[in-house]
Amino acid sequence: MTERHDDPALLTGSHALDALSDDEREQLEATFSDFPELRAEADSLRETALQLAYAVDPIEPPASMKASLMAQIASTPQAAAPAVQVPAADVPAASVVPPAPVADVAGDAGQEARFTPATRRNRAGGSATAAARRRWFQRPAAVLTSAAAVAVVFLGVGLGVGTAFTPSNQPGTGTTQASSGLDRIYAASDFKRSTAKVSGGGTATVVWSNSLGKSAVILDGVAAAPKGKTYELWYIGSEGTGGKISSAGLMDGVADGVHSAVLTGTRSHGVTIGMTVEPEGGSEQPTTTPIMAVPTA
Amino acid sequence: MLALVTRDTESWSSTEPAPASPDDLLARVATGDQAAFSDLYDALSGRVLGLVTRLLRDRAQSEEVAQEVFLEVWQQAARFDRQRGTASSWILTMAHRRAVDRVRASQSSHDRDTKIGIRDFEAGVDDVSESVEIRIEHERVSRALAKLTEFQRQAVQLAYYGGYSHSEMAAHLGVPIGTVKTRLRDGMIRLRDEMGVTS
Repeated sequence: MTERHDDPALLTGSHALDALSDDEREQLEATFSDFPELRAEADSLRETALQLAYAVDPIEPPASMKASLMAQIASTPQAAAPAVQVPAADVPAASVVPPAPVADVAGDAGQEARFTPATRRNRAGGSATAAARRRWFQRPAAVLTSAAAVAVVFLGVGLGVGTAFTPSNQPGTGTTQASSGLDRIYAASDFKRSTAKVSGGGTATVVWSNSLGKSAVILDGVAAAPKGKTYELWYIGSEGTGGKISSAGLMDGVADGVHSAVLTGTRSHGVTIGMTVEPEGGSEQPTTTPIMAVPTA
Repeated sequence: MLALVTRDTESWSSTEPAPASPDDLLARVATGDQAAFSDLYDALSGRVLGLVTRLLRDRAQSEEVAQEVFLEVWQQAARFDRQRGTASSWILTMAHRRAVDRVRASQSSHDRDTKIGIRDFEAGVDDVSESVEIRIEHERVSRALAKLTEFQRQAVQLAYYGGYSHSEMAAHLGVPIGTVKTRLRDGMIRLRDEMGVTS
């Protein structure tokens, strides 16, 4: 036996470079508390690996990525700081408790961690709002991730200014009534936009201005609502503001092509704008699964 | 209300350089400070996306991973242990690990060319479009890497830029796994000493 490759002391380089499997990494890190010099070496090599990271060219992410993240964090709970470790000798064996549930959130940082059953239950009682919210976020990853991904593609083409996409050079843009509101949004100095896919086909672009408190939705290639149904737009509040959902008006007369509508009411900071299919005349709260959701910030 | 909304927006869409260090910003993020998160994002998102894209190549996938990384930063900020490194290191480590996980999970990882990590790194060094600052960093890293043995250098680059696990590398290179571990450790220690990294 010339190779002692099970010796954890050999693994600090692999550790720094993420060449270990998850199991190997956990095993190694478990030994750190007993071998402070091993931890020190691992930390110094980790910092060295950072130099390798710094030698890579930075790539500026699209603006939509930040907008999407800012909206996400507004409704994402943060893990608590780890509890201070009490030396085992000071604690009677019987009082040892399992790790706090927060460890679950901490363990998996994926998007699904945002809507743990606990936060769902605690929110807004058992009202219609809560039911609607549940429905809304049943598939948050699917809806929101695809929204973000599409926004990336769309914005990459040429965002930043309203000139490339003003209602006047957009053939078939909605009603003139909507256009006048749209013009004001496009002209606003803090004009922003994000685009998402609509389930069932087509895209929805949300444009907004925080200073105006106004937003509009532009549908492109979205089929007409089924007979006896209508599209309804919604403001979905962030977790931090109680998660209120309120109607932002109906979107009638959609039939492929490009249609736009300025949302009724005032858009508050960080809301997600969504759309559902509702019975003709609209509903107080969404009654169906949303077909699009666009976070705004 | 309107004034408040406007201020919120300015606090994160501002393009002015952030005066605070990533470490200070991360400490504020741990208290739920969204404006600090915004500044931290501005300071490090280019680095994160650059690194992730180096490993994954696919731009859309890389953006997805970079976004996951920053969401994790938000969620885990309170768990950052300042004693053990810098905020930049913590975040780029997270980014690297997620990129590696993604590379290994993807179908194509089995067909990866073992030379790819090396070739890519060297191509990057000659890129004329890069900033002076980056060129200097390239230069430093290249010089330090040149001090390693060829085997050490190859192992370090395959692992870091190629996302290879040491067992994958052992299989590809036809050497015992213990040899790979030793090359990685000796290579990294040499690199650390050459670059004067202190922890």
